[in-house]
Amino acid sequence: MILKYLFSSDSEAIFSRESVVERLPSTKENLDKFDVSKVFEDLKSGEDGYVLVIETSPDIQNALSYDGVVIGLKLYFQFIQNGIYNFKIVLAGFEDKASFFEYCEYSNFLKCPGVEYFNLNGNHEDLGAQVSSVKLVNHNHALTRLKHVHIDHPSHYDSHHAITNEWCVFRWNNMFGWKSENVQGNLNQTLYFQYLDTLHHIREKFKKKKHKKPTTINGIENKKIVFIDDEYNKGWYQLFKKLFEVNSGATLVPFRDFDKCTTKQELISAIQKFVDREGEDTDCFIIDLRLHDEDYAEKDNTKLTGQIISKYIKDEKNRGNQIMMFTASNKVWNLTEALFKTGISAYALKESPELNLNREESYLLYCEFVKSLRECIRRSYLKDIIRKTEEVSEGLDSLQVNNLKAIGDLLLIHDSLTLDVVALTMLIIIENHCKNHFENIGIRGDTILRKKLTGMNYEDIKVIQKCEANRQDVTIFGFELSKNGSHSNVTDVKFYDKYKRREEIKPFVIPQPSDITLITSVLKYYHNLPEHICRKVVKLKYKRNTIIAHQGGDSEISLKDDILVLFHDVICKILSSK
Amino acid sequence: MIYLVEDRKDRLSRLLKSGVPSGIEMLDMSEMNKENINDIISKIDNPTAILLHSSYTFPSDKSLTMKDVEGALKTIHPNIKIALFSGGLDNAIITERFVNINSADMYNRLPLFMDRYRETGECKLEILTYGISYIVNHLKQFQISAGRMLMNSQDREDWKKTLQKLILRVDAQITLEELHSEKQQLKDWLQDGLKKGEPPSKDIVLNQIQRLINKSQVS
Repeated sequence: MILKYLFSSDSEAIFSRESVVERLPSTKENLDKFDVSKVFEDLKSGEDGYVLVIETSPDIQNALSYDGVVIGLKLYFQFIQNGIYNFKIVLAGFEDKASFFEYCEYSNFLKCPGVEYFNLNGNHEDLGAQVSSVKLVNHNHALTRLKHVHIDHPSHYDSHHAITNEWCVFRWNNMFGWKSENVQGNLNQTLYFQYLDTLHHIREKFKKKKHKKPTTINGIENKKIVFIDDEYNKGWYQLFKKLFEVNSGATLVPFRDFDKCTTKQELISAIQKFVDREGEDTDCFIIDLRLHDEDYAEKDNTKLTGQIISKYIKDEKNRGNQIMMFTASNKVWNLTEALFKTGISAYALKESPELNLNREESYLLYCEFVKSLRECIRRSYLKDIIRKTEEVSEGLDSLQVNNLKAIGDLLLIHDSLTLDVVALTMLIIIENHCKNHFENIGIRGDTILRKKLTGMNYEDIKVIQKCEANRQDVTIFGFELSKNGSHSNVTDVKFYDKYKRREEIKPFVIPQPSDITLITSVLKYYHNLPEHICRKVVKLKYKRNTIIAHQGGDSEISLKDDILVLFHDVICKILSSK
Repeated sequence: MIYLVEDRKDRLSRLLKSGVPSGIEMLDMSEMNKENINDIISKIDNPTAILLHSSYTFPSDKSLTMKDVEGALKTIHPNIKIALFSGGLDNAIITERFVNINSADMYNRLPLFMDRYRETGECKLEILTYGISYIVNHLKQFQISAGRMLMNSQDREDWKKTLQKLILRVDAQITLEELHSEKQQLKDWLQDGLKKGEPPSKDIVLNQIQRLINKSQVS
């Protein structure tokens, strides 16, 4: 059995006759830096058991700090983590056991197997007899008892928020096999981390290489992401820079001026100015909920700085702006306020040391984060729609403005069914406009336009050529045939230059002005919209008529975001056209 | 006079709900730079203690740090007590004239610290460090100190001398006014013991000190 005494030099004379004495520093400053691994390494060689007698308060001026107990805990963690169970830790102090229990924050340590208290008021020579027998410590029993020690996070993490940030940065960096940079608190050196490490084998889990996950996020290239988090410089910025910019081609713009603002109002004003400057072309805002110290005491969650900034971005700047709340708060009322009242797009959680210890949970939370980010980026077109709506609204009557606003509001709703309905509604608006306008085209003096669109359905190119030769005012729309030659799948309208050879194509002129003719002619010749837009309008009309109305076609209707943007553009253009 | 140097006014209002306790003078160091530091510090009137935000940013001289200020204070006002507070600190570290402490802890304990200062004129950094437990910390300091002294005394012939030294140590180390009667009782008890043919043994003396602590806790 190896008997080792850990005492300050001031108490050395007491135990100088004893077996092995390791001097502990006698100032708290140095005790905080004391490296227990050296003591542990010295002991590892013994096979008959180890007994460590540790002075509870080596620094007399900081008697209530019980730094010896902290050192004892750290050694206990080392023993348990390394599978060494033939040891005993004896905490020795001049106070009685009751007093120790009353004042030592970690007094429950005494309830752990292999830990005892020795009151030095008695004859200290009894100590040798008391510790002579070392019983094997049961691993599970030790872990169960350690849970009752209640080691809280260090107080320099003045909030749960701060430690969660550092924890999450640490975990995510580990997940990618990256080194945590700028993590200021040295979390893994703290008693708290070592405690969790012992209970949950955190480090061991991250050592496994297979945990490394993909570090590229597809779909965010060339996108601009604004990051507003008071902890940005504690590892997040470096992590996101690597993840978003270096690996995924996006641009990351953090708000950096937290230190320049003292009051909450100053901070809010500074962030609002930053949003005014950077927000216009931003595809996604990542915002923390609590950005100022005052937020930690705030009872009204609508007054949290992150909520105030989010409301500013949505209500004052652009309802279509995409915001992801990235926060340590798992409170459902914060989530409800942010999602359903402020109207942010996503709410992603920073994992916390208490709740997210499972290795896979890091990955799952990260996946949720990526999914939310990509969704925000995908829907960033909404800000353009809302902006355009406001731009064109000035010259419109109130009914048209309300219709456009209603479309904008519906687009902000996430579900795909609503988006389909909105797209089809927009199509109806375009169709009606074109039909009405077709009759009115004559007003602008283009009297021949109607004539242009009448004629026969010609499939013979010679007839068309003849028709053209005789009537210079005929305009020809061509419709591409499907591969099997069926007309039912004709969806793609093309406009042919009169003077171009077109023997190789199969154009036809519709005998009466059909809906397609009306739409395409008004869009192209009256509103000067490019051919590809006319084609897309016709294509959706075809899909609606065949797939939705008659359940024909070979696939369900698929509306991509660009169609929504395009249709909204068309509507804005045709409505604002005088 | 107790001075406070704090550039984070929001923290001040958040942590001191009832405002800055009376008797504290806010000190503005925004004009301070390396040229005028000694001049400004020498003009601080009758400083008993100064509470400094360790990450204070000096707008006039970015290279200036609180370490510079601390050094100048110690030189110009050698008797001053200094509390350096920071949000990035975990545990407090106290020495005779200096304490390094977490900001939130410091502000929480500041009213008690100032109450004591106003009532007695005593500037007890222990109150900033341990709050209401400063009396217990004070007694435990004595307990450890006395324990070490008695345990180190191996020579039975000198036991009476040791106990006499202990009485001197009681006088020197139990200095809080609140413990005046307990201190006197302990001294009386030790002196009575010395008068007996067989003075109280080491464990009896140490148990008596423990009883003193237990009693002070109750009171």
